[in-house]
Amino acid sequence: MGNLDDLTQRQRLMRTQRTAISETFFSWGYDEVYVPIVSQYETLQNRSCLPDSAVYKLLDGDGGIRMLRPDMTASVAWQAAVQWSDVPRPLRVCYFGEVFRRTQSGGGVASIAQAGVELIGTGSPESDAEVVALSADALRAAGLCSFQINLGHNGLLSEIADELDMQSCASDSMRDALVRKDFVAARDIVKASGHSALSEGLMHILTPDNAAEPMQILSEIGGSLPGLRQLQAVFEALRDFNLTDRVHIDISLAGDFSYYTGVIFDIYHARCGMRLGGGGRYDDLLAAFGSRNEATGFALDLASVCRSASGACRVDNAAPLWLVAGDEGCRPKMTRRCEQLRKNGCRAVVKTICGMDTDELAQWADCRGYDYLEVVRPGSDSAQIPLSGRSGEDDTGG
Amino acid sequence: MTPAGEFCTLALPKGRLLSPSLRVLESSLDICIESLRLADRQLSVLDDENGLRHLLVKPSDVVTYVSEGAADLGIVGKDTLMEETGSVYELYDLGFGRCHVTVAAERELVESYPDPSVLYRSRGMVLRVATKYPRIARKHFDSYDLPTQIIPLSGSVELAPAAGLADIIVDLVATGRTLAANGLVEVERVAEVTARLIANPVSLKVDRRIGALLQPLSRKVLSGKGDNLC
Repeated sequence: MGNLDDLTQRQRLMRTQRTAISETFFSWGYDEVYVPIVSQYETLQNRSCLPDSAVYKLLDGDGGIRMLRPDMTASVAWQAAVQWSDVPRPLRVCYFGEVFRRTQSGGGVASIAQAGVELIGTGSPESDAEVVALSADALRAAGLCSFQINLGHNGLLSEIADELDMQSCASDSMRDALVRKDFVAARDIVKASGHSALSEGLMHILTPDNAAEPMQILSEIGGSLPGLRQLQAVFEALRDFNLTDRVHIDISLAGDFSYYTGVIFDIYHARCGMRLGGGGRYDDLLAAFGSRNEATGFALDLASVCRSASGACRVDNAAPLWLVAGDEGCRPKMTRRCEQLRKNGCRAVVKTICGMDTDELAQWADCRGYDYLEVVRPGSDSAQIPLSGRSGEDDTGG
Repeated sequence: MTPAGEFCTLALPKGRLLSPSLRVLESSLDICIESLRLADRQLSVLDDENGLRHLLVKPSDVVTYVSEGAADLGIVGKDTLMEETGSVYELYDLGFGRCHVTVAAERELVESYPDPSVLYRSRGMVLRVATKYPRIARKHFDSYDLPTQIIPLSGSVELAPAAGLADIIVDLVATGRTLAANGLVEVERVAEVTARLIANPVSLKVDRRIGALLQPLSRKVLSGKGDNLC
């Protein structure tokens, strides 16, 4: 059926993956919560830290400004701080839904289907490791085997810059360069900071050739930096989950959202390099809503997960689709037959024959994606005809 | 990213950057480019000896090939890298293809307003900027905080002021001869441009062969010879 078949196949795959991911979240103790699609602009916008131009704003009847949720974490954090302040911590919640962001060109709105979790009320390295490991488990449940996790720390670059006595503008420039993955500019800034063991080690990390192990180099030259100690602790905690072979240290990692305060991570498909999601620690976000709580979490981009899994994930085979056809006078019999088929787990549609013979009906049904045709005649047995791709298969029609 | 056991893929820019790119592959990365020299109109060239596959693509598409994982490494001008969106690692300044992105205007205008910020504000309500680099131009003029209309063009940008299409242009300049021939002079430089070696983020992390390929370059940089590898 061409394009429609591709679309429905993709939709079935996304549903299968969503179910698998949801069951994984649930099995780790995360309960699903509802995140409002529309929220108060003043309450949340300053917290998501997306550029204002990326937020889709609406005017309500009273002239107040509302927005379509541009990310889930700020909304969940607000709910946790205000609505669930009495719920004992740690709080483990998950969500599914779209976030909406204005596109850079043309003023359109992109909707991004996400699945994610938030772990609120704990600041231990083990909790960071838990969400990283859960993201890996969810991706495996969704049928992905080839993915890698880049682990970094949102504050580490600033700490390194302070250690190198960089001016704040040089520190900002180095961070900007590394966020852009521009190692050429970053090396120029480090070189200009003068010669030291730290700058030399940093040059090795910023001159990638796979021979350099960032964690080892950093441990040798900057072991006292708090951000590095946190990164090491999470990396060690990930050993419990047998995940260290999938995890790569990336000091250039800086979160999309400035609410991140600690260890952050990005997940990539290891064969095509596509970003599948990411997350990290945001210990100050709930305090902005009046409730001091440490927190961490992640979100997966379900469309990317679906594209990456194509061919790797087993889609639940759809139940066979029957076309039950007959003359107008046979409608009660056709209707009862359809009920019986549906009870047996099949899908069934009634069609009144309008002067078509059986061959014409079969052709009509075949090109519309039906798996079986059953022609109902008054006072005689029905004729069952398998259509394309079903010939010779044992039926479930009963 | 190419799966283990298959070819590593390099996206090379067709056009003016191709010849110097091949020279760098040979001199700095120790890659024999005989197969590329022998290729006629092929856009995909296999190099069995080095385990490489070369893709010859439009310069503006190099970033897309690398960021989407269709190529592990690529060579691209810094101007293209600034203009295109895509998650790639910018690893090395290869030093060739040196030019710059500049703002230019008609000579009389620049002589009347030598200060760029005064010149930009002298054009009435909205400054009209013609360019092949709308993203770079937008970012540059955002810093001046003045109303700007970016007019995207795909070529012959130098024509825009004389034709009344724009007040100024943002374009790539190597010698400045085309600007001069069209009565334009530079107002201010926006960015210096050279060719860069870029990598897919995942290839760089997980494919050991990429690391081996890059080692001659990293040795040069770490030995203090700098990034300019030509």
